[in-house]
Amino acid sequence: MQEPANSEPGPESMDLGRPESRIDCTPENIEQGLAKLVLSLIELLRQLLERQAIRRMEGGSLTEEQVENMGEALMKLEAKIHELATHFGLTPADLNLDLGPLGNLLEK
Amino acid sequence: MSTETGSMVFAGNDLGDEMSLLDLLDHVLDQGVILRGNLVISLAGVDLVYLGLDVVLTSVETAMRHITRSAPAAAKK
Amino acid sequence: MSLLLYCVAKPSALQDESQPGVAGTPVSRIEGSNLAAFVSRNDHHEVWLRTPLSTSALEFHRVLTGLFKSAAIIPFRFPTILESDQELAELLNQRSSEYNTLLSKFENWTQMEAQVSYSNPGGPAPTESGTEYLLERQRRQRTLADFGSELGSAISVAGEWRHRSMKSGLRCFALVERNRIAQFKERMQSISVPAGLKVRVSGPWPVTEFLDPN
Repeated sequence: MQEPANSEPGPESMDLGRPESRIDCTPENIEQGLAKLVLSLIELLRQLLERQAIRRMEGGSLTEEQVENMGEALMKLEAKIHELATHFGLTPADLNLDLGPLGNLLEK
Repeated sequence: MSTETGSMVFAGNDLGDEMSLLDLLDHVLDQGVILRGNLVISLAGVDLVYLGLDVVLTSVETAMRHITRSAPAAAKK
Repeated sequence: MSLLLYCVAKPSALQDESQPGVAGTPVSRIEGSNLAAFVSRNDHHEVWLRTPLSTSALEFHRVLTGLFKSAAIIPFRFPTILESDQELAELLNQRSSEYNTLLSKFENWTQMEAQVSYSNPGGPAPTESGTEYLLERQRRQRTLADFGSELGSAISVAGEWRHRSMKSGLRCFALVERNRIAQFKERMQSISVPAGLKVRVSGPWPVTEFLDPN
């Protein structure tokens, strides 16, 4: 796939990469790269949800059943994320991709 | 395996084992002055660099401009 | 002609630096507006953005480390790319007093970091109930937060201490004078880490986390 000579993706753009500058671009790598980004985002959401759940549990306004359901849902979510990660050959560390200001959502 | 206490390790900031390479990268990509946002997302390999959410929006716009600019029949801005 | 920006330093500093930069492009020193800027030049910026990016990022880091050995610097985030010398001149002009103030303020200071994370990334035991799961997570969270506070107050040798919650745990930053780094490490070593947590101490790094007043 040739790109016209004057189309220079700036540093701000998605670096889909010119064929000659890519060293290890295969469909599998792209897939894994995408999976890593997506699962990283989902992992961030999971952590946010976990914090919220703990806060609500501590708040004392939930019934035992509600706490149990919440916990079970989160537990299953975490297991599912790990399962998906494994499927793409990703480790738990891979899911800790820090996402700039999105990561700040974990503060507070 | 001891479960009595956690562990503490000291890393120099020069290149060492595999683990410290990742920590180094973590640091490099997370520290330093940002000027008006620079985003590069590499989809090749396992290499992902993400810098700044606000820049994603700019990047999409910029990418669209580049795509438009490079298309043969595109009107000039 | 694109420029990859590494860092700025006081004009009196780092007179004698010539070294290879990212992707083999040499590092140049450019003075302007009472600052010394360190850049690499190239016709096309793609040269610095070749995949895998980690290679370029690590080369970038090597340049900064070399420069930081002898003087205070303000590093730029990788990759910061300018499109002309003019742009650089304008930038230096705009930020001259801000950067000079910071470079003076942190002239003899470095940043030490401690990453606190869980030694076991997690994952519930299959027989756990939802409630037990949440209680265990609550306990872990508290252990981390408590240890973070303890760490902060224990490091009295640090000029200042900050921390941020990250996905992997806690990221802690300490402002430490250059001549007190060994002392800092000793102090850290004397702190006992709770079971289930691990700490990774690194540095000295150039001061980046404390550049903002808050």
